[in-house]
Amino acid sequence: MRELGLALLLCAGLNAGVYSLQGAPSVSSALRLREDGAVETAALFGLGMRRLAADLGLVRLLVYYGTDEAGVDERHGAPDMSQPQLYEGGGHYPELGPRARLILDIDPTFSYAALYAAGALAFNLNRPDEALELLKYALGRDPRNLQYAVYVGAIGFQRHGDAANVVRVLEPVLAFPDCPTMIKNVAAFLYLRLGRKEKSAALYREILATSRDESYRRVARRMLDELAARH
Amino acid sequence: MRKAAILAWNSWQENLRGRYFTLAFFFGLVVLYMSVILGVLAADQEVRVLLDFGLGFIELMGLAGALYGATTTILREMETKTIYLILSRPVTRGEYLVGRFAGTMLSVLVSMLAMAAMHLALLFFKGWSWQAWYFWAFLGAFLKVFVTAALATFLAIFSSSVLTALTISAILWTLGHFVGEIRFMSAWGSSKAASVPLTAAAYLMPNLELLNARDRLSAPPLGLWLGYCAAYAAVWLALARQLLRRKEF
Repeated sequence: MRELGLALLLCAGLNAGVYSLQGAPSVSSALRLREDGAVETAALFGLGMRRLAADLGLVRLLVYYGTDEAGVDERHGAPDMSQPQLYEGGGHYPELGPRARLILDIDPTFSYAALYAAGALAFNLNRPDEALELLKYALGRDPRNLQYAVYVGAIGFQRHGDAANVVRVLEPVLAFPDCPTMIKNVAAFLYLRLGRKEKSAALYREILATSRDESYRRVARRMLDELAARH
Repeated sequence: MRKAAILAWNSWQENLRGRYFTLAFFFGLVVLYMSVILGVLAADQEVRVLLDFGLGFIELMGLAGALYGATTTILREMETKTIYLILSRPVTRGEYLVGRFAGTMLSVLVSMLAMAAMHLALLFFKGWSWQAWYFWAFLGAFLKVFVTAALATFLAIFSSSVLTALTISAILWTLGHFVGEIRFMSAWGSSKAASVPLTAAAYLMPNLELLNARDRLSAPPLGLWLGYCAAYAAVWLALARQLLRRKEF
């Protein structure tokens, strides 16, 4: 019993030493979960798999946004060449922003989730205010991420219908490895609207070559065929 | 020390004969299966999800093997009395314990390395390029398993029950990842009565969050890691040795 007490005392001393080096626990390290998926997320936290919990959050978000809402005509990601001014996809997807925020709560560095949801809100669902709110939240969690600032600028131009400046601002981030295919798709479409067909075709070719998302690859293939047919 | 090394080698060979490494083969099948599913579900983020899932699964498989080995090896030899064969030779109980523990950890390390090799092959196939943090994440996972296995060894000898030792170890593993939250709650909790046990828990449990490089993607404080793990494991192995010395078979 005396040895057990000594062992516990040694462990306490060891942990105290580590805590003194680590400093006080921050608010961001505290667990904050929403009702849906809370058990699964907490279980993954308990196994030390925060990133995987964020990944599953993203998979849920992608499934949510990829599933048709009842009675709504969905067209996200597939612009109509005959009516290029009508780019916005259908649906409301009220949970898109909150779900992305939950992912950022779990893993503040998971920029793809914020960029994807903000892009969908601003460019597909025509809700730029919500997109900006989400980006502000993301910037609060990861202030050094330049992509967020770029998106804020692009969405600002999008609100004023200034497509030329939207693509000008987005251009540098299109080459980033975590740039969502959806944003490349939006940029390709805007290039097309601006009459810059080569740029548009190059982006569609890139989507075809690099994206793992079959729906966007299908769109890119169709758009390239239509562009080739026009020449 | 030489005797402990011989015992460790003996444990390793037993594990090899006992098809311990079937775990790694099973891992390969699961990861391949998951890669097909994730390719569809995670779209652009397939590689990230595959990376996180693989590293997490390697750790869990390593933990399962380590806890099983740490809790059963010595108890089984006590039950079957084969421990007499070893202790009747000029081998101290401390050397026996260290040898068996080292053999188990060697088997765990090799099986985790085999799983990592399969995981990396799949990642490279999917277009991932090498990043140093993979190594740190792997090392952190192994050290977590190492510390928990040392605790499990003590618990097995203390309780003489595989089930009890496994259950308590699994609980400590889970709580060890919540150290940040426990410290946060004990610092901000309004009730003093609630904060005392929380504080005690935060100071006594293994700080597995410290070793969780997988979730941080940065180079770890290596000296602190190694020092902490060596000291924490040594405390529980020393206590296990004391208990073993007093045991009558």
